Amino acid sequence: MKRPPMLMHVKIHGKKRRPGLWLPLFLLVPLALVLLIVLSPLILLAVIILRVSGRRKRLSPVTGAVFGVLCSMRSIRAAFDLLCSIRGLRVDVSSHNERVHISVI
Amino acid sequence: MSESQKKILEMLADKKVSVDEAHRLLSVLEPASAPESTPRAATAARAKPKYLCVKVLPGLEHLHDKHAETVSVRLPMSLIRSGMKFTSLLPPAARDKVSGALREKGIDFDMRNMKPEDLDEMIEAMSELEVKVVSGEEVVKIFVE
Repeated sequence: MKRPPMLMHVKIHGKKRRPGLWLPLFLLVPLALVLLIVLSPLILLAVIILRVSGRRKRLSPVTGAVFGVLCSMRSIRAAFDLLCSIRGLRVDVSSHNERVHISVI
Repeated sequence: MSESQKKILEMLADKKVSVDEAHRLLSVLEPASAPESTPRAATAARAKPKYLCVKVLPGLEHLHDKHAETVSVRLPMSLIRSGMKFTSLLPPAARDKVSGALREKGIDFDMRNMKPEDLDEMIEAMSELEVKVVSGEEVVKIFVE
């Protein structure tokens, strides 16, 4: 089963050694869910308008709405998959006396 | 299914042996009839890459340069898979434009033909990948873990 990342570790070293910052990403998931629910009517409306007006062959509002719902559901799933797959991402940039380290756990 | 296993099942069907006896006989046969894991299969399972790593190191000209930077990125392979899924959300017109632009550059690649199985195969084939580009200014290493 796919799980979204739990933590992000950010470490910035300059001349002084500072402790790393642990960001709890798991707290963002409920917030994102609430935001998605609140904004879903607007998202749906935008998708329907774009679907109906953007096609060469004009669609009826009902067909547009069905396409819109399917498309937005696929987009949400793809975005969730993308979020889940960033587990294990590690970026490290260092120079002579500075270092930035980001890892997603 | 081996001949011996078939024979035991036939004996069970003919009620020559009980269910318990048949089970015992089958469990005795099991280790011998289990498919042997070949070293090649074991290597293939072990070698499945998980991460794509890109490292950019300063080259010989900048080895003692104080401003020279080293960049190291480790990308999970699942991110590549998810990214490919996003291409299915592209509108057909945009997809055609991308394919057209790639064809102009001499790359005959159509995203619609890329299936998840092909991608898995491609990722598995990358298990031995190691690219190293050395120039005076920088050294770029691409490998999988």
